[in-house]
Amino acid sequence: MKTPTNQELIKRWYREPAPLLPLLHAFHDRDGFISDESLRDAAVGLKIPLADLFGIVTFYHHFSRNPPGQIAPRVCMGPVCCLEGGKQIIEELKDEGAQAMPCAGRCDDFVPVLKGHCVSVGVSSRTLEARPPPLPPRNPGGIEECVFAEIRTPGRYSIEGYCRTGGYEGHRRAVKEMQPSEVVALITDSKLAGRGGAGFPTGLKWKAVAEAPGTPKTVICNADEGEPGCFKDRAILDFDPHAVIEGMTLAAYATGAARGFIYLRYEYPGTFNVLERAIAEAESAGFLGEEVLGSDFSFRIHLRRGAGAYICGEEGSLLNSLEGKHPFPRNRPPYPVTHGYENLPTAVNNVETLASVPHILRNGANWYQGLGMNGHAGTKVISLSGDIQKPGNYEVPFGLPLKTLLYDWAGGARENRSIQSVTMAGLSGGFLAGEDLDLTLDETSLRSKGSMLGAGGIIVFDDSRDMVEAARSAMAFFAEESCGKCFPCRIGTQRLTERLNGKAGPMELGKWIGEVKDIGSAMKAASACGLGMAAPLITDSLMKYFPERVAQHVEP
Amino acid sequence: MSKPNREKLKNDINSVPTDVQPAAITLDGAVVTFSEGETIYDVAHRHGIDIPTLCYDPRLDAFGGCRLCIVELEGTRNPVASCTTKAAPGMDVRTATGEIEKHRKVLLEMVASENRELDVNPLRGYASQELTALVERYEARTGRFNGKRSGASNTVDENPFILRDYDLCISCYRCVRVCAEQEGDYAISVMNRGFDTQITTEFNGILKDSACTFCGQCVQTCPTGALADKKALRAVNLPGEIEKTRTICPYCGVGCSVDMLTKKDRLIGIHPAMDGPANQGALCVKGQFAFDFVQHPDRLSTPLVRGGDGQLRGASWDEALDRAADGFRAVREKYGRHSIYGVASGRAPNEAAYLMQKFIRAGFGTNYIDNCSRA
Ligand SMILES: Cc1cc2nc3c(=O)[nH]c(=O)nc-3n(C[C@H](O)[C@H](O)[C@H](O)COP(=O)(O)O)c2cc1C
Ligand code: SF4
Ligand code: SF4
Ligand code: SF4
Ligand code: FES
Repeated sequence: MKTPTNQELIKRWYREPAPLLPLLHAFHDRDGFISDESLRDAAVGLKIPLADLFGIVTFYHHFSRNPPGQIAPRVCMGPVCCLEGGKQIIEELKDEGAQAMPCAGRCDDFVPVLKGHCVSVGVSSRTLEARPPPLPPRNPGGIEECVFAEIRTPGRYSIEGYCRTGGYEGHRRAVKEMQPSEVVALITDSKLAGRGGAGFPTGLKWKAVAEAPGTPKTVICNADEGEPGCFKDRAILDFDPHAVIEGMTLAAYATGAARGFIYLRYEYPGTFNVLERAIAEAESAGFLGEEVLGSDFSFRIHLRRGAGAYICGEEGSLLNSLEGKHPFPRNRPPYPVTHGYENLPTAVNNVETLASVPHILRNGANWYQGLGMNGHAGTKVISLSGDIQKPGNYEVPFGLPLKTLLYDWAGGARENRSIQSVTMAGLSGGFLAGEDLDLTLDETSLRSKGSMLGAGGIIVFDDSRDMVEAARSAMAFFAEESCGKCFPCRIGTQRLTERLNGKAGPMELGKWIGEVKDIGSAMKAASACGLGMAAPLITDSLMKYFPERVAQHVEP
Repeated sequence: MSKPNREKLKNDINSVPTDVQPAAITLDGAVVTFSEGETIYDVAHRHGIDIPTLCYDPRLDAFGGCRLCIVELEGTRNPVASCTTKAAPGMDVRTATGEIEKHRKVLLEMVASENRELDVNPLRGYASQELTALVERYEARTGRFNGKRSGASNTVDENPFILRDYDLCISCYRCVRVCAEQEGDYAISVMNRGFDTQITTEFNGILKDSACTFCGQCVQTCPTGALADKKALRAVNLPGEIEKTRTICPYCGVGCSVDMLTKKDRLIGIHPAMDGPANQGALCVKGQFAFDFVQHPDRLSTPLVRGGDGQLRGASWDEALDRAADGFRAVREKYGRHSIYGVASGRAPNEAAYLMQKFIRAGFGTNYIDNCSRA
């Protein structure tokens, strides 16, 4: 096939919704990097000021502006991979221009190396191989699941396999038999809440979008999954893409949305192919498109790929990214439910949230609620990784004791080791240790320890690990990913990293603690988005659980 | 910094019809009214409460970056940025609790720690003292939080107007926003992210190769002097205090208000007048930077007439005017009244332009009169 010219690519994309990212990716894929000339043409073609466009491209981690560009290996240096051979691989692949990338969401099957559109994994450069990601392990107690109920059924990823296991039944029923408001009511009754981190009740969100003035409305599936130690959305999308598509169509039907986007993180190229195929299948089966199943409901899904920026998972930033703007978070209020994509009503939902919806439609609100323990409603997928016998994605009932998950389900620490500490919410919930590991997996219990469940990543550190180093690497991640919009986080993540790596800051314990606490409380109180508010939980919990280690770090 | 929109808001408030019950919030214990669209910051400012800010410029959309303007809002878990939060009926707001003031001080200590220099010459720009003033007000010059500094000055941009001393930049993005929102130029933008953020132009080049029109708006809104007025800085070592005189830009029909900066009898720089009715703080390159002619040695200080040898020589006004009148009269007699065409200078004030057309119409009897700023 002839290599397309800039003008041909611009022509291909400029009429599409959210054209900037796919156009930039088209340049990137064609040349391996984005040349000055391509940027100039894109600026004219999409009517974006060139200075802005240049700034936007520099924001994303993975857009290269020079050769070797896209083909240079990107090696995961996330909290798990950097302990499991990531550093070594980067050293070994130096000649190929290897770069570090933040957690690439393969913590259950490390170390991922991304080259062009191919992910291979291995613990050294010699053992790297492109293998399919692992399926979520079953829980030993036979506890009923929701999102994972059918995920292990062979062929579930294809539309035939999906329909064979009850797929699109809910969709068909909703469109043919239910009013949109009935779908909203059902989801509200189920007590399903956001699984992307903030835990906002999904029914309420959809109701707000349905009632907000302005069309066309939009449903966005947030598949940016940038939180280190979180890899659940990848598993859901890889093995059960139609559940997410069905969830999106139900969200669209309930809210009256006509267009949908899936915003997928850059680091999941295999998942991109799975989704592209699944969307095409759903379109030809008539579940997506104009006048779905002969009704007057029309809905299209556009797949968009990020370019390496954790903050683009924050919904305001995601919206700006889609709209081709500088991906800073937006000021709230107004919220996306009224002022979302192109300032119109928009439901932004996490992959897991959406994947739960078809099951709820099929089995009912009471069924879903009843999956939780001790009065908590529903389930949560936990990505468990680090120093644990059986890492993987586990769907737990809300209210499950953490120790049941760690020891009974996942086999506990590795041989001759004991669990020293775990993180919560990937890194955003900070560390837990000691007696505080006696908790149940639900927001109430976690909040009482000053932490949160968030997107559900738990990273285990055994007694061989240095917790100051773990904290430093976590804070370095936040500093790397801070968007730079607001002062407390832009400066705070940097200063906290410096204090954890010993490169700056007082050498006297009292003063060190004073500085770290003051920075942390200003960040928590004043940051403009969740990144800056969450980052100091790392230092807070480090000082809380490991005071001796901190003292030793500051005054060796 | 004077905030022109506030006066307008005050008038708007006063013109609210009295038969509708105005919406109210509680502000530091007092019940105060607000009008639709006002932010908490606006209402507080109107009541003389001086909430500190660094990323705020009343002419621009509120950005919410510096977070110094946070206030406590009853019922929310965290403080909110008053610059971006719209007032809503029944809100209970506390603008300066001990906690809030402590966070502000810490934030200022953090900003001071990333910046290489706090005391900058006021000739750098209109807002250049904002950071210093706040650091003083909060006694935040403590040397805490040392570490890496942010920003890197552009030392290759040799344009005659704008110094790009990003060593002093605190990433408030006022320059970027004023360029886009106020000027519509979109010449500068934000490169990289987090602590590595850097103000840039397309391909990180020099301003001359960008969409910059050298209007100097970025200079005048910069709260740290990172962007500085190179022309004014020529006068740093000139003796004398800086004095300001309000006047109107002489260059075109817009009539932008400016403050002339002088030291003794030297004109050393121009500041835009933020409360200028025609410009609200905006200027173009001419009004901002093109003032060297005033004190230029080549400037004519006496009328000149050409002698029989074709050379110009100094003359009195009477002699020069007689000579001009003779010339016009001769032309009109030979070729008729429509052989004369008058162009009023766009740099002259309206009154002078009026007199010019009167002069051409009544004096010569022709309608051939124009003005160079007509377009
Ligand atoms: C820094 C930051 C990163 C985030 N990243 C993600 C993400 O990768 N995926 C996600 O679904 N939500 C993420 N969120 C939460 C979203 O802003 C939003 O709340 C969520 O997508 C809403 O969907 P839900 O209600 O279904 O959870 C992030 C939030 C913050 C503050
Ligand atoms: S908290 Fe951090 S990531 Fe969020 S807006 Fe502020 S600088 Fe950006
Ligand atoms: S150059 Fe000045 S105005 Fe621009 S971001 Fe930096 S400090 Fe703010
Ligand atoms: S020349 Fe420029 S600064 Fe002067 S009045 Fe006209 S627009 Fe304003
Ligand atoms: S003035 Fe409100 S955040 Fe800067």
